[in-house]
Amino acid sequence: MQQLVELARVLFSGARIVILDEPTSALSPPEIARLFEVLRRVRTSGRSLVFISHFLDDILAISDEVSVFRNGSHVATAEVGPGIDKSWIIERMIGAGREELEESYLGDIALKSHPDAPIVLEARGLTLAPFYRDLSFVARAGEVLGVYGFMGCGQIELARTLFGKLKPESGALEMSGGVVRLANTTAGKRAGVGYVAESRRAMLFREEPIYRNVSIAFLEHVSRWLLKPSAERAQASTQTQRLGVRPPGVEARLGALSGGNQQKVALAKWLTRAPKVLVLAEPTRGMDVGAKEDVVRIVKSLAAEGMAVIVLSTEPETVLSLADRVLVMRKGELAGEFADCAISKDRLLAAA
Amino acid sequence: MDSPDADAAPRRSGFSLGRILRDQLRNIAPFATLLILVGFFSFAAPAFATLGNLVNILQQASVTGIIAVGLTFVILTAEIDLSVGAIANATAIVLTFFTLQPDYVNIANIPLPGWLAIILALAACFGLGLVTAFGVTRIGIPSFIMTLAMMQIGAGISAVLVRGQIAYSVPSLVLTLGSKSLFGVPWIIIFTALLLAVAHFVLSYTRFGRYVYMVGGNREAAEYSGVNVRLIIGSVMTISAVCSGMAGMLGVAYFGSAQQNEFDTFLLDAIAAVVVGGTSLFGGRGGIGNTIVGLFVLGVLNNGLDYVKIDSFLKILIRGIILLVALVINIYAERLRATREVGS
Repeated sequence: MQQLVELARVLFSGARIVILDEPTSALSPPEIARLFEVLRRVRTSGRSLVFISHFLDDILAISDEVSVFRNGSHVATAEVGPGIDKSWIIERMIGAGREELEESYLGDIALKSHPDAPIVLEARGLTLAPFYRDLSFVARAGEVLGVYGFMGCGQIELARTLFGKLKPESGALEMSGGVVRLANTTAGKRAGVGYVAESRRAMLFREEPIYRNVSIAFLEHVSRWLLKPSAERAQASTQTQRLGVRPPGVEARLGALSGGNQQKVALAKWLTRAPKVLVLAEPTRGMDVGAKEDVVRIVKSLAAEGMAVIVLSTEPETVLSLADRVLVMRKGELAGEFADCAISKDRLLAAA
Repeated sequence: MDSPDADAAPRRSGFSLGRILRDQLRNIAPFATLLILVGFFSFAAPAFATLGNLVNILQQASVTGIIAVGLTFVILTAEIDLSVGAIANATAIVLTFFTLQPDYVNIANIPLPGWLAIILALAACFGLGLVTAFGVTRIGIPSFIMTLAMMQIGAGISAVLVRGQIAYSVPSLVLTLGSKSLFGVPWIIIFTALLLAVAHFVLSYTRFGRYVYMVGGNREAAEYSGVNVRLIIGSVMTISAVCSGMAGMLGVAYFGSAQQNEFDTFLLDAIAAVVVGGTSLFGGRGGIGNTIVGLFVLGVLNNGLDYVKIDSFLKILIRGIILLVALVINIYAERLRATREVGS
């Protein structure tokens, strides 16, 4: 809603050129449809629109001409028409064709859950008005549990509750067989939960060297009183290498890394003291295709090691590319679950 | 948008003098200011640049220095403590309240052994610090407002206990530390130097110190990394109160008497020392090294203005201008950094 008001203000301000940066990331499909209607009207009134997005479908739906940028330089420009489709854009974005990516977005994906794996986390009737109500679900060791819903459906608040940042009004959270009450994020960490927030700004210290960004999550295990920088560096180095953070080396200021690599650092901090439950809010938001693939690979390997990973996202692609089982949230409630069945983007969207 | 190619190429522009200057503006500017001031006063007044006067400057800066140690912790977490002067005053008066005063001091005080009086005074500032910590972290009152209230509370405690009188006696340990010398070096300088050293050690080499910087650098990220942010903020507020209390006790011994509003000017001086030194008001940048330079700048300025013939009322204006310039540099350094962030 806020986003729509913001857009309305800009669109009707009388500007002759309007630049929209990721205008659809916070909108639901019907809202996007309405926005596009308005944009087309603005366009026919003789004004120019620049539409910046990583939602390729949206770009293709609204644009007359599309330009691809990679690594800060212009790669290609073409009029939208026959032959100019998603795979054409993706090819230019990553420099090679990736048919399988195209498939994973639109075709059916078979979900296979792990019904025999031990339950690591169980939520029973979690409620925090006005964000979410009566959420009950389990997360099992070794599975990636996707939670999908539109912006504002309460999933971010749920993620924060699982880490102890927010306290539920009622309901219980059980971990490893006992009810836990998380007084703060420190308690969440101690209970065995790791958390990567939806924005990098909320996760990382731009001014600090990479190793401090990594070690902050497990500093109490490295040093009781005095810092041991060499141990910090060694552990940080191990984890960043494992995740393929480039450039290698842990002394550089975090801000000097590209966005995708920053996201990997945010993940890396939870790997030294592996949590039982890793909560990832929007782990691939704003990343390009290549970096997304890296994250998918990392998350899957973490689950394969026995971690329960909970991925919360408003982007169907993120959930589809990662999850073994998918919960759908709608306006604060669980609206559906996909397990051991085929799932596709349209069915996921339909459920939300 | 990122791309794999961008990941492979480290974004490092070459080292240039301009770039280093810009990055280090926060550290270079205070030091340059100090050099200019020392140069100016040495040139203007030959009596300024003597060893004896150096001891003078250090001694005059000591009470401010002790307060500034605590404030450095607070400002590094991007909080503020306006109650330092009032808490110094209250602690000083609690100390004299529990010390046997000369007959002509007409206050209904409770004389106790010196060590007990010191413990009670320390307990007083510690307790006041805990109240501040509770208000800021548990109730959620912004530190600016909370410490404004504590400033009044500290002043109130002072007023109630001393009732417009002046107290003179302090326990002998405090008297020694505040006004006696060891081989010609005043104890108060030694005490301040040790406290600065300990604080530097804590901030640079302990886990707690790292948390202080990280909480100041990005509070949200610290919290999402499982750092107990409230505990850290509460701790720095308490540390600040205890430092202020110690400054108050030694200050009374140094000045020779305790009365109401005695430490009012130290609030501004201590904040000025920290900020002039280059510690960021936005938290996370700076440290004890900066505070030491800031203390020297203020100490040299206060002392040097006495050597050059200058209207004593003008002194206040000059100090105000220096503080303003330091604030401008502080904000400017922050902005330079921010624009570079966007640019990178």
